[in-house]
Amino acid sequence: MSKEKKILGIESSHKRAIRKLYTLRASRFAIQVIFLIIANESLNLLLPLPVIGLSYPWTSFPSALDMLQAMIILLIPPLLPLGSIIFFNALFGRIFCGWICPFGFVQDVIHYLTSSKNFIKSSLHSRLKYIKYIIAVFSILIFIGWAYLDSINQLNSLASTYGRGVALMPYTSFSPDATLFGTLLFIFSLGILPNSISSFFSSFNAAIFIRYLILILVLLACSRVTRFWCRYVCPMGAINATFSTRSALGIYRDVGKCDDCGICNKICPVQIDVVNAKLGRIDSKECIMCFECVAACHTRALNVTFKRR
Amino acid sequence: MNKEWLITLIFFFLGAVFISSSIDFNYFNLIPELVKKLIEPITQGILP
Repeated sequence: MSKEKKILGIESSHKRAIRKLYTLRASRFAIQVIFLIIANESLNLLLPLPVIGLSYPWTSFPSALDMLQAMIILLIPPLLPLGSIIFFNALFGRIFCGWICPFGFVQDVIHYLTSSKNFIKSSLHSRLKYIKYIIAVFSILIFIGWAYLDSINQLNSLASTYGRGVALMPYTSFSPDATLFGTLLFIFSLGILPNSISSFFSSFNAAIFIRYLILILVLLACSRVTRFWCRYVCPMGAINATFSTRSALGIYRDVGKCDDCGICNKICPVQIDVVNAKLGRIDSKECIMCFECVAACHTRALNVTFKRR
Repeated sequence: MNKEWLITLIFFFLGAVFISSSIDFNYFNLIPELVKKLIEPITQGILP
């Protein structure tokens, strides 16, 4: 019996909910794959795919955070990345996290393949979820600090100590999605894989070792806790969350229809307390808009809609 | 109009103004150059 069937039970209304859930998952999966392909230029090096990229394969399609970082460091007003973040989050909430983000897709695949848990201890979860906000603030402060390093000479001196990647793109240098979709694919595509394990390790330097280590640790954590990266670490998710608190699109709970079965809470990949949603609207800051709770609700008490109040 | 919608609309228009300003500044053409300038050096020291 699948994880979903165990959670939802096997009554007829629940069977319908399971069908809806699988249909939703298939749709979301398809959209995530489409975005993974069209937004990841590195894939084009391996397969002849119609990608839209920025002519540089070292990272995945630069995210708004990558651009924010680049523009702040070069003292260019980051209007485009900031505008995109504010505009789309005001309209649709964190739909980027649930339906578009390639690393979110990887985490979903890990969740379906492993026994990762949707739930950890509530008190621990409620504390850990603030880590991503701290990381986001810290990252932006680093970008601003780097920007005021007074000229390229100081950046060069930083680069000679810590490496040019860290000096110019401090976040991208260590983000696991850039390592997974950029670095690794690039190395594969160039055919520069070492021909023995010893040469593989001898080609390591500290920067690349830390990159791989972060990627492995994050993937391992995701195999234990569903969407670990999105829940607790991702600074992009934190920035999205900040601007999606009052998003136009939201998930609302009809208290009259709800039988308090708690299935929505069990199915939610980011551990939102849907059943006890204040004023009927579920927590739009943490919600990644995957709509699994809506599909799984057998009484149809949950609805995705634009603001009702 | 209630407060919830007002905040949403403020964010919506702020985002729209930022995006339209970035078009005025020709940022769409600037970004590929930025990417090349900033990301290319990461390859140094990592690739053999």
